[in-house]
Amino acid sequence: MKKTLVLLLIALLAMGTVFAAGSKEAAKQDGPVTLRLSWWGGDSRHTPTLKAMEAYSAANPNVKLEGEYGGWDGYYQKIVTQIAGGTAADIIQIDQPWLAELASKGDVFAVIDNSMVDLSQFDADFLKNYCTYDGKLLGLPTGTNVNTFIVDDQMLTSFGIDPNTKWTWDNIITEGKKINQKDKSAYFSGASPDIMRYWFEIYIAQLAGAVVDNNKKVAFTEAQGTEAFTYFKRWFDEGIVAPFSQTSLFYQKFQENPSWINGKMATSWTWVSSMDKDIGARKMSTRQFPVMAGAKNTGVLMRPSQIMVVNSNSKNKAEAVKVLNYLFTDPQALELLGLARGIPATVIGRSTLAAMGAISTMAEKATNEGIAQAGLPQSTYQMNSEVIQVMQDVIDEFGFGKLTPAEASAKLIKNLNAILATL
Amino acid sequence: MIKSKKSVSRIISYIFLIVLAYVMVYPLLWMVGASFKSNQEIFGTLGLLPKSPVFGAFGAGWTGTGQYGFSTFLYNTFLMVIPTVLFTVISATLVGYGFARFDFPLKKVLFVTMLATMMLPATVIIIPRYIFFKRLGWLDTYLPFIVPAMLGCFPFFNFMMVQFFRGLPLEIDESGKLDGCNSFVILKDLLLPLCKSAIFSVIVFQFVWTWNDFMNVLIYISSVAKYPVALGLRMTMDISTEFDWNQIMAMSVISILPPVILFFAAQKYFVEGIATTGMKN
Repeated sequence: MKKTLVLLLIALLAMGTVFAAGSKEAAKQDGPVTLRLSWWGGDSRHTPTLKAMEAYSAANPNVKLEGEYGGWDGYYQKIVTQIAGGTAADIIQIDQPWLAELASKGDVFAVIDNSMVDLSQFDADFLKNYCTYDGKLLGLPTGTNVNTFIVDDQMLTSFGIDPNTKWTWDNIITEGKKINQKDKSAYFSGASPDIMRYWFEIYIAQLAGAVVDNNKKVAFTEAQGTEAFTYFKRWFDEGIVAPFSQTSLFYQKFQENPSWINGKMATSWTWVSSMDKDIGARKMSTRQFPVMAGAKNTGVLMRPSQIMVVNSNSKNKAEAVKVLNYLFTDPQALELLGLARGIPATVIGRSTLAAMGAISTMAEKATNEGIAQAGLPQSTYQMNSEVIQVMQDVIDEFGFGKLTPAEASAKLIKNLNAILATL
Repeated sequence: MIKSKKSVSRIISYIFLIVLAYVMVYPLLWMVGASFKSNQEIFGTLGLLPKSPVFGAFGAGWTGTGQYGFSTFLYNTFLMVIPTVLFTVISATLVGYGFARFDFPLKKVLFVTMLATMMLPATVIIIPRYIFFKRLGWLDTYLPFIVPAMLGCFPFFNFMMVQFFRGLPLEIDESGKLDGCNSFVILKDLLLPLCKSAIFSVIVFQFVWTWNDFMNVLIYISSVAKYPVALGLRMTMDISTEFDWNQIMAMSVISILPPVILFFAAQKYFVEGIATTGMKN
């Protein structure tokens, strides 16, 4: 509700500022230009990015680059407020799902074409599926991020499970239950409620293609929903996954669960970008996801780590795009940036880092296997934050045993239809 | 007999208080302990004392790895908080005195309006305020905090001072008038010395609130060189990359020191202030 209100305000204000900014743009500057870049991240991202910006200013003395950076907390709110107030930075790092949410409210981001940046460096489908809104390319993907299934080989072996098992939906249960049978406090999966939602989305994608399709319609039938919930009920009943009463404390941070850190949970779904953080001090390796026979879509997600956009109200759009081009395609910049934003999405980026030996074999394997297994992109409606919340609420109720599989399926479809009607 | 009974009940109540105090203070103690733990130990165990202590979190956190160290953030915070607190005290006292002691047209309406702004949820006015300060060109400065303090834009404190002044006997003012004091001298020489406890309450509350404010500084301050502690602390906290929690805990320990020291220094007056503003003579 609050978010809708904020977005509504942006829409109004973006329109206002567009008209207001129109006159100013005519005055072209050749003199010194100051560009602001904003991003979120940790030190491992701040330091390399600042270095690359310095290098750019050294080569282009007329351009001064200023970084506005901080942690993830509140970044979205800050960006939304700045866009509404017309004070957003010239180059902004955003999360992929925000692109459609923000772009749908007005002319917020500048359109990028091949004359500004060598787009052949990127995978065309990737740009089309994730960085385009309404047929216009609005941003560039910083890196390729895919889902991966991490497993603790040693823990599996110690419970008599072959760590090299090719996982299927069935053997996750038949093999996986061995762990909880032997040790009541240990589980096959460390999934917290939000991760269970991802598993559910994968299962539905394989059964029915998607949860919500591009036509803003619920894409699965009630029977398919019941089938998926019935399957995941077995995860809870047969001790594959820890009960929500234990994991819901770690919503969106399953890796902080002491059971996970202390090696009481053997596997997890995760993103390659956050894999190292999730694994922490443990030793794990990556596997592919189970895919059912005749799956319509693997449901394995591949998306840009983040997207860099140029503010359409920037006074120096052309210069900002040049900086973007430098950060994405210049070997010097790529070397300085390294893995600050994951494995680069450009051909030259990957070859530069491979030559430096910067990409770990594990990350490379996980990325390649993930790309090979990646399914169709989710529709923007399925990635909408309000739709996600609807799914999460039903899964929470189901996970706490308040809903039977049939009830959960019916409720999910009813609630999804209700929220989709408002989008 | 009676004496021993008394001491037994005293012992029991002390034990009860100590246990309760321990439970309440535990998170703070844990924070201090956590600044000497590795990430794995922070999340993997619940104990207070680190099993394998890691030192150096204070030093590493203080210098930081980005362009600016923690000393910059601390300095910025004082630069923002001290004027804000100072002006809040002055404006709240004047506004409170005005509403409590003078009759002027529309007094009731204005007072109700002021109280109404206190009830308004802050989230509702974030964007209008942001745009207002943007038009004034005050973004990325501390003026959005300091100027409202000058103009008495903190209705809670105004209200607190009004209530306090109402509790002071009118006879004091009258005696001043008889001696030929003007209204300002009455405030300065007669009433202010009696207000000490209320003023300390304003100081402590406003200091702690401004010190810990996250949302407003997040929105108004954009350049890293001007980040206060609340933003500086979160600068390295990312969702996908790993960071050293012990440094964040260590810097959190440092950042709570000024409010804690202020509280203890002003404790005597502060507690008195809270108690008396709530009472009616």
